[in-house]
Amino acid sequence: MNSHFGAFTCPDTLRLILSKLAVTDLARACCVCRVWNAVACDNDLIVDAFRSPWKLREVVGRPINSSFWRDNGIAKFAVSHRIARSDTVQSLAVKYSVQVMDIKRLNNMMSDHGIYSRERLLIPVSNPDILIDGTCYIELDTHAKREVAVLYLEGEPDRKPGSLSTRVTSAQGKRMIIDSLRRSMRVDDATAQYYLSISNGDPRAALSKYSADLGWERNIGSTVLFQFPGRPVVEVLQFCFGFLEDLLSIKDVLNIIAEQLLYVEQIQFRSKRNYILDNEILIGAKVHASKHGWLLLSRKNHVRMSSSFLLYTPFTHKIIRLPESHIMNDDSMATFSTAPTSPDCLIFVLTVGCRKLYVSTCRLGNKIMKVWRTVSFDGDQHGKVDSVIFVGGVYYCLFCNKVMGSFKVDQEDWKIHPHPVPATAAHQKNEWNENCLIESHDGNLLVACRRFPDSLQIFRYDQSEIKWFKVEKLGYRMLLLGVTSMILPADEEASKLANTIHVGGQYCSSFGSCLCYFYEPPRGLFLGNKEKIWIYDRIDKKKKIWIQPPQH
Amino acid sequence: MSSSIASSSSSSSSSSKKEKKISLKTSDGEVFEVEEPVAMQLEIVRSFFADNEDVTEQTVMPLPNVSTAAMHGILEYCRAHEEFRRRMPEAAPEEEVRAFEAGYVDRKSNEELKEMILAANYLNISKLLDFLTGVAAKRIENKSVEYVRAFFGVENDFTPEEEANLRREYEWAFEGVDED
Repeated sequence: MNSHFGAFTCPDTLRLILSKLAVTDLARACCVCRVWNAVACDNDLIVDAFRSPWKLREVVGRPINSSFWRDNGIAKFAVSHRIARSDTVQSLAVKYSVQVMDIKRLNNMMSDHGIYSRERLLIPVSNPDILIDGTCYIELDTHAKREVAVLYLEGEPDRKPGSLSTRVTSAQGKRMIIDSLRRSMRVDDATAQYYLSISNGDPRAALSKYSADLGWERNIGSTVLFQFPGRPVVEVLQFCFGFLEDLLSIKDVLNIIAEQLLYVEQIQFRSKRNYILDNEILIGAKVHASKHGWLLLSRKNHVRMSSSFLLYTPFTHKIIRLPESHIMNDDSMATFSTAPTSPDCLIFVLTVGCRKLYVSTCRLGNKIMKVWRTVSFDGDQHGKVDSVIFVGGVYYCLFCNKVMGSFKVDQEDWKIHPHPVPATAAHQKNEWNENCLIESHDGNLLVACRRFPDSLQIFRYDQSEIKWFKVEKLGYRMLLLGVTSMILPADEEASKLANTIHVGGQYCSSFGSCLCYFYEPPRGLFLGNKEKIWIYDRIDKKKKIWIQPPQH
Repeated sequence: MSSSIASSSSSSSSSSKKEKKISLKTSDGEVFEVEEPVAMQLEIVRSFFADNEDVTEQTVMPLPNVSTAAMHGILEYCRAHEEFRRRMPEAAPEEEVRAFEAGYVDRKSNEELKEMILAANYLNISKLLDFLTGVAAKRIENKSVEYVRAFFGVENDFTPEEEANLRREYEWAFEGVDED
C-alpha cells in the first residue's frame, strides 16, 4: 500500500486535487512539502481558486502583496466608474444600487465635492452576478489605498474610444501611465513603455499583454532551470516542450521533463530566470532533432511547396537560417552533427523522392557560402523514414520497411544495413510500432523499438559484426524518447533517474500521456506506475520534444 | 479466477442480445470480464482497442497498475454510470447520480480513495478522476498541514527554517483550521 503514496507527490494528480481547493486550503497546501509547494504555489492555481467562486473569466495582473489572494470576499471586487460631468455620489449610488457610505468608504472620500478631481470612482459590487464571466484587473487604487480586483463594465480595454488611452497624447499623461504601469507590473521603464507601445497606448491592454507574457514566462522559467547547491552556475539540465498536436499555443503547452527532479532538488521558483521563447519560430514548425541546447526545425513554405530549415536555441534565442532548397519537403527528415556554434556542424536532410533518395548536407562552418550539397541514390522501396541520426561521421536512417541506411559523409557512400527487428510475415505490421535511433553516451548507435502496449527494447549496433545486440541496462543514464530522443547522464543529483526510460510524444499517442519505463533486471522492462509523470493535461496528446542540455 | 463476480452482476443489466465482453487483467492476475460499453469508459482500454485493429475479443488486456480491489470500485462506478446513460441517454438523472456518488464515496476509506485515484489516473477515466480528486479535496478541506501530510502519506522535506518561513508567509491561511 505504502508504495502508492509517493504518487501523491506526482504533480499531475496533485494538481487535480489542489485545483479543487479554496484559497486558504491552497495556501496551507504550500506548506506540506516541496513538491506540494511547487504545485500549489503555481499562480494559475491560485488565481483559479480566487476567481472560481465568482465564476470570473479572468483576473489580470499580479498583486504586490501575495496576501491579496487570502480573501476573495466580495469586498475585494469593485467596479470602475469613470466620472462624467453630471455624476454625483448619490446618483452613482442609485445607478449601482449601493449605499452612498459604501462608495465613500471604499474611495476614502471625506466629502462629496472631491469627485471631480478624480478620474474614476470604485463602486462596491452589490450583485455578484456582474462578476460572472467578467475580467478583473488587480489595481492598487491610490484612493482606496489597497489592491482591488477592478471590473470594467464599459467593455474591453482596446475597443473603447475616448477611454484612458486618449490621455496618452500629452507627454505628462504618458509619463503618468508609464509610471503606473511600471508600478503595477513591477518592471523597469523600458519594459512598461514596450508593453504600452504594443498595446497602442492602452494601459489596460498593456497590462493584459504583460500578464499573459508573465504566465508564459513563468511556465518556462519554472520548467527550465534547476539550481543545485554547491554549483557555481545555474545548471540547465534539460527541458521539453509538449507541443499540442496543432502547435498553436506554445505558452499553454510548455511542459517539464524533470518533474521527477523535484525529488532530487526543489526548483527554486524565486531564483528562476526568465526565458521568453520566440514562439513565432516554433509555431507550425516541425522539430527534427536537438543537440547541445539547439533545435533543428523546418517550416513548410506553402508557396513553393518546399521546406526551409533553421536552427534555434531557446537559451539565447539565436536563430540560424539555412538556405532554401527545392528538394526538401514536409516529409524530409533531418538531423545535425553538433552544436551549430562549432565550425564542424553538419546538417543532414533525407528526402524520399520519386524512385530516388536525396541526402542533402550543409556545413555551417563556411559562413559565406552556406549551401546544400545533395547526393541522390536509387530507390524509394524502403518506405517512409522513421528516424535519422548522425553518429561518428555516419548518417543513419531507419526506414519503416525494416532496413537501415547509412551515409558516410566523407566518402558519400550509401549503404543498407539490417534492421534490429527484421521484417517477417508476423512482424510486418502493427508489431513494432515505433522505432527510434539514438546516439549512446559512448558514440554507439542504438535503436529503441516499442511495441504496444508496454514493451520496449533497445538494441546496439555492432558495425564490425553488422549485427544488433540487445541492451539490458542503461546504468547511470536515462533515455528520453519522443519527437526528439536522447540519452542523458543521470548521476549525482539526478541518480534517481538512473536506468529509466521516459517516453513522450509520438511514443505515447495511444495513451495521450507519457509513460515511464523502468529497467529492473532480471524482470526486464515494465511500465512505471507512480512514475507516470509530467502529464499536465491527460486528455490532449502532447508531443514531447526533449532538448538536450547545452555543453558546458 | 473469480471473474464470476464481474459477469454475474452484469447479467442483470444485459439486454436480450449477447453483449460483447472485454477481458481486463489486474496487477494481481485476476481477469475481469467487462461489458464493452463499461470498459470503453476506461480511456486506456478504448485507445488500446481503437489503435490496435488486430486485437480480438479474446485479447486479455493487462493493467499492471491496477489492483483487484481498485478495479472492483472502478467498475462499480462505471457500471452505475453506464446504467444511468442507458436509462436516460439524453441527460443523466442528476439527483440520482449525486445520490449514488455520495453513497459510493461514503463507503470508501481514505486508503481506498487514494488507491482508486491512482488507478483512475492510470486508466484515464477523467470523469471518475475528477470526481475522486474532488472527494479528496473535500476530505482535506480546512484541515491542518499535519493532517494533510498524514492523509496523503507525504513526508515533510522542508528544513524547520523553510517551514517556519512559509508558515509566516501564509499566516493568514492558518486561522480557524479544524482540530485534527
